[in-house]
Amino acid sequence: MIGKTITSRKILLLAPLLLFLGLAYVVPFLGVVRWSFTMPEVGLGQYRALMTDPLVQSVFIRTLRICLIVTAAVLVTAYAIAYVWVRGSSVQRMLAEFCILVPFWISVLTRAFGWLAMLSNRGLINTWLQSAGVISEPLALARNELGVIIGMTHFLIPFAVFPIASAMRSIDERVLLAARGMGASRTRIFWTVFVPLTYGGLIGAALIVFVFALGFFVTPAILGGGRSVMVAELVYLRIFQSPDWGLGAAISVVLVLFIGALLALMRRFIKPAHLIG
Amino acid sequence: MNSSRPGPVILIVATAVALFLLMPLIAVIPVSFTPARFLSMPSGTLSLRHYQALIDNPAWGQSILLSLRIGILSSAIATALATMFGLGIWMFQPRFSALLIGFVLLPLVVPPVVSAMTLYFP
Repeated sequence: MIGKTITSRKILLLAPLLLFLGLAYVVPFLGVVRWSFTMPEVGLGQYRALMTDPLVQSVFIRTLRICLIVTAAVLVTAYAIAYVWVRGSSVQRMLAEFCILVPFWISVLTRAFGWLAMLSNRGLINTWLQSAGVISEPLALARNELGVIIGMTHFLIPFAVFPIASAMRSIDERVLLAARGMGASRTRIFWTVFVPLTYGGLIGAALIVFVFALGFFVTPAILGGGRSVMVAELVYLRIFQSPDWGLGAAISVVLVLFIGALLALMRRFIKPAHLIG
Repeated sequence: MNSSRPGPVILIVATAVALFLLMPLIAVIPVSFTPARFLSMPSGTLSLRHYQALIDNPAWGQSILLSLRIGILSSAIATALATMFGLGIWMFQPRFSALLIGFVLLPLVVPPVVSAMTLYFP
């Protein structure tokens, strides 16, 4: 009897979310998978197109390139500010926290338009540089790949700070004291003791940033100005503008499989708790 | 622990990062006072026309209300479902816990555009 009530309670608590995701997510996704094989005709045609279409290929390559650059930029910048957030004086910690959390809470759209206001031809940076006489023609900072990289790096820094800071916080202070006691310089302690102890957080951060970056849509659409289309925007264009649902579905399936493989490969490095911080 | 306080190099880098993080958010403010119709820095004159439009044009008010309604409803449903699930995992620690947690985190890693297309399906 008791076993029965526990089972029923367990189902009562766990089932709603699982059921919701199953019905609202997994089942329709299987439908998308089916589209990729049936639209416009049954067969592997869309996957063949995906392998050979030079436009799709160039978008895939651009997406990978942007994601790698953004991941590297995010890791370095996030590490610096995470360090101050975790180990700074109380004022430094407060300031760092403010600079991490405020952008984090603000919508991706606002942040992209903020960057457009900074980087566009009539934007802040070009206006300043022109009025200071440094340049005569505006620099091409937005509506290209550079703008996309800047905007995405900005968006993703907080997501990397959380796992990195969590790894920094779990470092045993005594290890650093021991290194100091044996005469290591501050620089040496940082590079040979502190940083290696945070590799777990760094790998988790790299993974989450890379995976998020792969699916980016709003920032590339606004800051790329249609000239540096990334894969998510390509899916959107295929579905909503040039009705080519089959190819859009096939790209989606490949994207999800790629992310799944990446996560499976890195599984032993990821602790879900670490990812959110 | 004084010896592990951030040194000058990391403080300089972190300050640059902090400015980088705040810059676009601050840039939005002067742009909102531009007299021009397009996204630009106000040059010379400031204007409240965009704020006026925000009040005058009913489309803005309606869409703000719609956003609020969707935000409140979806966060209420999401919090309820996730709290129950979290409690269930914590209380009973079922077999395949890790698998179940991985499953519910799926929407986090699936690109939003794929999720959107998925919801278009029915």
